[in-house]
Amino acid sequence: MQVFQLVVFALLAASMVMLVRAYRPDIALQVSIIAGLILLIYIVTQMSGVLDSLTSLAERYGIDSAYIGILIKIIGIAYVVQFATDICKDAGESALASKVELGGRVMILAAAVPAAISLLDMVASLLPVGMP
Amino acid sequence: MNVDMLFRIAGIGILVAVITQLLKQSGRDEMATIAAITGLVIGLLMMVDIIGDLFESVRQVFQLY
Repeated sequence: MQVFQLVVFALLAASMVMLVRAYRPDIALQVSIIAGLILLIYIVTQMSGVLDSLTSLAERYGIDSAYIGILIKIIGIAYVVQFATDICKDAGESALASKVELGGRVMILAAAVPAAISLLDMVASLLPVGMP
Repeated sequence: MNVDMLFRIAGIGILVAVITQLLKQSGRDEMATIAAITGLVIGLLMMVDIIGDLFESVRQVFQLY
């Protein structure tokens, strides 16, 4: 099972970080960042199958693939931003963490604006013509 | 998921700790500082490598630009 691989890796990384932190806290932060990166790379490569099946499901029900693309993009932005935020919080820089989070929100909003505009267009086309 | 990268960076940390302790005991504080900075830079280089990997796979999977 791949879950056990994940769990054992995380426990091993946690014990490594604790071991190194007793002697050098700066390198312990690097160890924890590298462990998080390895875990995230693993999870992202596992996720591509899920996203492929999601896209094919959307195609089967006739949903425009551009919207699914926007959704997938937003999920990716959220994962990367969450990773950076957690690292900054671990390093004790919660001000930086909240800035990164704000930046991620802005990026997600910018990615979602075309979908919102097309929703508004659709609502406007449903309304009877000649409304004030 | 490669564990050896994790062991490598943790080993660098322990090695740097031992080296700095030895250099401090023998009275060479500036060399100890240089060793600590070198360990940090090696860790940073490894980190940059892995971050590049992560961004590449995220860009492929999530179709970010």
